[in-house]
Amino acid sequence: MTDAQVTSMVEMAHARGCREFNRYDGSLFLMCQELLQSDPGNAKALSVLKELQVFIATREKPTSFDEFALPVPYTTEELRRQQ
Amino acid sequence: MRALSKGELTLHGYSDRRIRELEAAKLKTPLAKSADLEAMYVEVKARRAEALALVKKEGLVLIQDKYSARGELYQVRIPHPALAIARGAELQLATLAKLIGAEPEPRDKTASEVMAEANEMLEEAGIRTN
Repeated sequence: MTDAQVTSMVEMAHARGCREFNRYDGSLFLMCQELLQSDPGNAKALSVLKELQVFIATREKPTSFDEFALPVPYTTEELRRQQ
Repeated sequence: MRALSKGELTLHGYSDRRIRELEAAKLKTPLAKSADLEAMYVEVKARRAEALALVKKEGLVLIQDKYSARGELYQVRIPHPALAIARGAELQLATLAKLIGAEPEPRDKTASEVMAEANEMLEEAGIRTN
């Protein structure tokens, strides 16, 4: 996931009317999608992805702690800067 | 006894017309009528349960005696009349549930549905997957 993809994701959510969707949500969404592509049985990633979809659709963020059981969603650029 | 007009009241209770009347009344005075609708919901639900209990006791089909034009006795199988009562009650329950806002919770999405929606959102955002 790149910074540009996160930006596109945030723009898409804003276009759908969810102005509260921020860069963290965008990177979380993309990370969950990547995790599920490599491991379709990842229940935590699925749960968080579902929550983010509800958030985009309803502007109401369901509360759960599943996202804290996942890795921190760093973009490729962020990881490069850390090294 | 007043004759029933077409479609007004059926064997199984409240007609569609009656429900529409209540719906119109609810729109005018929602608070005053919502209790009536809830009472009706309970009543119709009880009627459905009663009808299904009767079907369970007597069977889905009944055997009815009939006579031919020549006066010969024969038997036919007919669906239990209580099935129509139950079916009518179910339709009314669905309508009443909408009116009183007691619709069932939407079912939980499956993993593939979540992934399909995620891919749709990514596509909308112009992000290529894979």
